[in-house]
Amino acid sequence: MSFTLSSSLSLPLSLSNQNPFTITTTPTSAMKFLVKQTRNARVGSLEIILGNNPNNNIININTPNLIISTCKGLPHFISPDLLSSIPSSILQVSPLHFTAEGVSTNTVTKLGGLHQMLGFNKYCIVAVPRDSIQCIPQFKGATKFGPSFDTPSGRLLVKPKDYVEMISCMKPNIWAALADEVPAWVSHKRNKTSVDRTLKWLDDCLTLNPETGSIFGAIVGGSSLEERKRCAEEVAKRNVSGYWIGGFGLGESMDERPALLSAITDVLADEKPRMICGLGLPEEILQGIAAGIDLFDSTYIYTLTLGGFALTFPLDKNGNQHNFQPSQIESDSTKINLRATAYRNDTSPILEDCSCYTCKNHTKAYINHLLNVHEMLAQILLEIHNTHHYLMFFQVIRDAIQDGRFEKFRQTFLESRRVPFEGETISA
Amino acid sequence: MYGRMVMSIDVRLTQIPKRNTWITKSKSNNKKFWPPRMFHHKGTDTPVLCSAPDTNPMALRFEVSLLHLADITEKGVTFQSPVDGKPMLLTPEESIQIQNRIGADIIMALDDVVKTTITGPRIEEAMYRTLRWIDRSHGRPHDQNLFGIVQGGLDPVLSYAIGGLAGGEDKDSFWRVVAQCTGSLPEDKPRYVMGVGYPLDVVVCSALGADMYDCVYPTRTARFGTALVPEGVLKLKQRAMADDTRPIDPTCPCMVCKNYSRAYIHCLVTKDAMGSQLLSYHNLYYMMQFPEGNVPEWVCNAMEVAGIDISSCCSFPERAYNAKEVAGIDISSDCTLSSSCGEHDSDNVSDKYHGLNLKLERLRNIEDALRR
Ligand SMILES: [Zn+2]
Ligand SMILES: [Zn+2]
Repeated sequence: MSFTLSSSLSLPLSLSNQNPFTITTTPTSAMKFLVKQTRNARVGSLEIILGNNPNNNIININTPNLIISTCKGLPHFISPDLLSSIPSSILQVSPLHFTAEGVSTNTVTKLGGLHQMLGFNKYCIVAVPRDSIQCIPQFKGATKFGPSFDTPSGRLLVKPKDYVEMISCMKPNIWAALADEVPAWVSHKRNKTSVDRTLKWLDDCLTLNPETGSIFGAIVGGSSLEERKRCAEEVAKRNVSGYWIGGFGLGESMDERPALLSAITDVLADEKPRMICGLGLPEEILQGIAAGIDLFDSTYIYTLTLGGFALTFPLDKNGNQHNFQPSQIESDSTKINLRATAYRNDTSPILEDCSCYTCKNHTKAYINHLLNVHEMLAQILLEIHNTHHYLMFFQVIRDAIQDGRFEKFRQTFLESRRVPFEGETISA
Repeated sequence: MYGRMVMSIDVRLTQIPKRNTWITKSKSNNKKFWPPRMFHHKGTDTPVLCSAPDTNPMALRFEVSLLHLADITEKGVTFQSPVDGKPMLLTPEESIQIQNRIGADIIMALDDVVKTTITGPRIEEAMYRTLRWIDRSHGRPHDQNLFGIVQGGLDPVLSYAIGGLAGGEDKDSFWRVVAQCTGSLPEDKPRYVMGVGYPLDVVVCSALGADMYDCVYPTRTARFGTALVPEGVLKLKQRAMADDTRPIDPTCPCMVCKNYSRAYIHCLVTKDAMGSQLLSYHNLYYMMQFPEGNVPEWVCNAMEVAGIDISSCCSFPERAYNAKEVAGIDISSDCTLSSSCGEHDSDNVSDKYHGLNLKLERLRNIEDALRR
């Protein structure tokens, strides 16, 4: 697949005049990013040019947005013929899934790359080695040669050369460089090593240039403000199309995160997209967006779905969560557990006003029954609803940023969620 | 249906996802449960077929639990609850009431099932009891269709069985029983052969005048990583598949074969949920098409009874004998397809199966409609 530069610059966003904004393009020909800056939270549009004909094959991804988590390129439960019911066109794929499962790079090359192998020609594929489910980074196994991952077929050390080879045959639209991700509690020395290695591997990847897709430089640094800043500054100097922020969700506290995130985003170029891995809860998403993150690579939906949970928090325009009725047992203020016996006779959909396939066609009692008899259809229906609900959450957030109400939205969301929580604590 | 949504089942077998009432019964102590039409999916015209419990392991989705069948008495069937293991009694009347509540379009009377390999007075008992149970069953004629079940094992004297097949009997006995049943049943009512689903079986039964089938074969075999192909089966788990860039069946027009290679499916099967989903899709699609290749002797015999000339496809033309005479019955006047078959002289067997071809055409139409 070869890429060409789109000559016409369209503005998919309705840019308001009141707010300061920047419109820029990234240096790559395969990808274009338009961003409107409002303090830190920002809305943008990522244009991905697919194939040879830029006029017919451009997909637009509004940011901030969620990247759909996959297993070997397909969503965990939603089969490809049903995927169109999900309003999204950006998927995360871990190239290591295929290496670990015996599909050789030769075979992938013969098939023509990931898009052909997966039967997706209208999707933006983002290659990220780590996925939090099947490819978990193992900081103890990493060496100066490359990061290490725990996969279903054992521990895998990935050298930049091998990784670049995978990328050049898989041809993703976007790919993250290798990162030495370490948990928050490692020594300062180890943390410093991780930044040095990550920068070295980025340079290796750039030198080995697979001449395909847009490379996102990896930023690590654990819970050290100083190392985070150093890594971000160094990556920002390199010829990358965007940034991939790793090392979050690995033991740092919610409270120290905003400072770490700002330390990074403050030194990054405004015009390049920022992707983050490891932030998934609604509160975490809001934290990331407040710091100027554009894309979220998260396995939160998968985890919920596997546990029989359905997202039910209100998608109020102002972020108000007071309407949430945690009336049933085994529910908190964002989700309900459909395994609970309380739903056995509940003939209402998960959410009355949800427009997803699941809510339009099925009842809580039916999903409860499917879970009880271990039918995979339960997970299919839940993944559809949860993904749909979370994508709508991002839509509500984008609207708030667009209208300059994001800070207010975030505060309302957090405060109104806290109230029922406190109520529960007192009564308990 | 295993791992497939009704929405997508609709694309393939279209027809009728079967549900077994026993699951419902097992948790319906509370009468509020399963309100009418819970299973009826808005937005599709798919009728929902609901079968009463039968002990035939091939016909069931939850085979294992049903092996714990405790007892059949005149009162009804007592079986072990899959939820708490307690014995539960299901009577013919209750079976109908539950199916009324679910709101299936087609409901089944409770039947007394015996293994087809059993002989002697137990079969006769099962047959008469099934008949008595049908008399105790009353549907809601305005919106539900009650299907009676013909039971009776493989004894040629008693046989009226369409239920209770596919339990391990040999193919020659199998087709004779179907022929005998369809020959004795009224023309103007549909006949549903329970638990039959192998491609050839379906073709033969259709030729003999049956109309509907259900079987876990295509989905269960998919779960074990096996694809149905014209040559037989393809085991996707095999190492050789890892580098095979061809589709499962290069001649198959299904979504899976159009998009995915054997190599890709190889890395999914038996490990990831998506592997069995994709294989089920292909296998269900495959079931809707006419099988090609060598035709076994029993099929030639059955076809001859059905009045369909496939002698050019039979590998044993010289050994094919007049099965009609052997069975000692004359059903040629009752065979729905025999009259129309006379009009066709083609060697291509598939031309003669208007029913199957129509189904395939309908399937394509639905697929086209969904794509739009
Ligand atoms: Zn929904
Ligand atoms: Zn196929």
